[in-house]
Amino acid sequence: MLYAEEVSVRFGGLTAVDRVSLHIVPDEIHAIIGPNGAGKSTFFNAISGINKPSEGKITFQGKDITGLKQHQVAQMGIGRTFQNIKLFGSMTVMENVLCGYHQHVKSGLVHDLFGLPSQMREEAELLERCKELLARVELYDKRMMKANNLPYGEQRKLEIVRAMATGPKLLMLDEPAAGMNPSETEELKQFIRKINAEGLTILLIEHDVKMVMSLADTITVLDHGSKIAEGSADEVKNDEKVIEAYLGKSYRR
Amino acid sequence: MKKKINPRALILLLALLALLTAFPFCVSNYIIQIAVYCGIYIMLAVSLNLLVGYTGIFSMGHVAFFCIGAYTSALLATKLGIAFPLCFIAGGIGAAFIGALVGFATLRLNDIFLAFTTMGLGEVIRIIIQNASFTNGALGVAGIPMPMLAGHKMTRIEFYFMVLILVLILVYLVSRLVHSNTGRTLKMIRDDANAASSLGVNVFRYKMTIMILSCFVAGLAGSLYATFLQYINASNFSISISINIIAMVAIGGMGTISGPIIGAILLQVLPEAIRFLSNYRQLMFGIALVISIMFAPRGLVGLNWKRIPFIASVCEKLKTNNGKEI
Repeated sequence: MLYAEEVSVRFGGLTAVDRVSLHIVPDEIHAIIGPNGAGKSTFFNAISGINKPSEGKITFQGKDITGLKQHQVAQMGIGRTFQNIKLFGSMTVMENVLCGYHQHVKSGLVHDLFGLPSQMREEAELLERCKELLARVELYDKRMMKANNLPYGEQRKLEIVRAMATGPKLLMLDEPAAGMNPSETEELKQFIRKINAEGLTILLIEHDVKMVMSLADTITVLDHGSKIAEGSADEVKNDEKVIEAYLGKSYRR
Repeated sequence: MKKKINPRALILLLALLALLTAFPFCVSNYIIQIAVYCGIYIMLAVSLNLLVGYTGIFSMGHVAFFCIGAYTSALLATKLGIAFPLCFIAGGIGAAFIGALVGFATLRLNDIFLAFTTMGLGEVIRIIIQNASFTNGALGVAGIPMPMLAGHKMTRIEFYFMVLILVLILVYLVSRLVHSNTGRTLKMIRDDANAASSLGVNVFRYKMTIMILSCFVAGLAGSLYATFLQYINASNFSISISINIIAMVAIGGMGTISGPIIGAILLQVLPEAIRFLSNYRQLMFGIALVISIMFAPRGLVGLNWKRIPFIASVCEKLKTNNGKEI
């Protein structure tokens, strides 16, 4: 589904991501792990168009998306969330999700200015779809709340739901469990499983190794900008290089 | 979903309209003049609010587009003798065109950088107009004709009604806009441009669109101003006007429909009421702005008026049998 070939990202003389290749197959949950500063987020941002890859090629569903702008990548069908939650704080839960539908809205400026019937109809339709989605993810009762007033775990969830509203084929989650307590993490895990079972391919970065091991189908391990291992949870767990990266040389078996 | 119109609110609205219709017949020319200026400043404040309040584009050069609108309209009317409606539209288009150029150059900037760049550009535009020969330089443009209406020159009262109608149309259109997908997109950009683009929003395009629209309205206001005053001079369009418009938006309430309207009326009427302090006018605006930022950061509209029992009871009455929440 998504191929990254030999992707490098350099900031001046610093190579943050060094010739990393990655292949995501449809319907899997693919995780990228690695110690701090391994280049996970930079790699992520290279895919989603925040930083341009210095080298390499990224294709998504057969189309070259290397160096596209962020909104163009989103329009190709890649949704994402951010490490530090980026909700629209002044808006309600419902409005946040409505925002997610942006690229499916057809009515333009003129329609909006004059409130033509087609625009009114579309807006009403959007509201229905939005309510449906909110009901499905069990946020319906909180739809009129200000997004910022939600508990932390639900803010995360809302951010994911907002990205789901864009109708992505691939959903990229940047450290979704960051700052969560164990029960929130567990809930999040169930939620990710659920949306994955509904047919969404997921790429996530995560620090919570326990969560990743039990969730991901494939795990890619980065260290110092390079890929050092890839495989299922068991394969990765027993990989010499991974153990070295996480625990140091003395723990090598 | 059909919105139910509350009969009490409707009556209030009709009463307000009746008042606005009746009042010019009972007051002096001077008051009518102030009312027309109020209308013009409402247009400016509402258009700036689209940028500052809804999209988070902090433009400090809004007066430049007001100025370009005024000059475009005035020059077309005096030099080429073109009829008012065309001058009016041309004023808007001229300002929108320059707005597009300025926007293209500056909208990639953020926050304070954008504020200073637009402020600088605003001054540059004024100085060019003040020194160019086709604009009559520092002499300004005199003898701008009043528009014709049914074969006679428009009276001040008629002009007042024209401005009133234009303001009503503008406010209606803007309130439609901000409650639509476009408005939602603007608020997204204001809250978090990065998140907006991750949802597929072409941030730059939306910023450009709203910049052009806002400058168009400022240009229209400029045309009305030039026509009503019948004489314009580049020194009428100094940076302090930009700051006044910002003060109107900030004191009234950024990102609201009624805020800039209330702010514009207040800051337009108040200085007339305290004319003996006219030497300190700019100082008053500054103090008012500081006070409002300290004590009412969301503007007058954002204050909790319901703490006052009388207002709370009125609100309650207006709310009964209002449509249910979405």
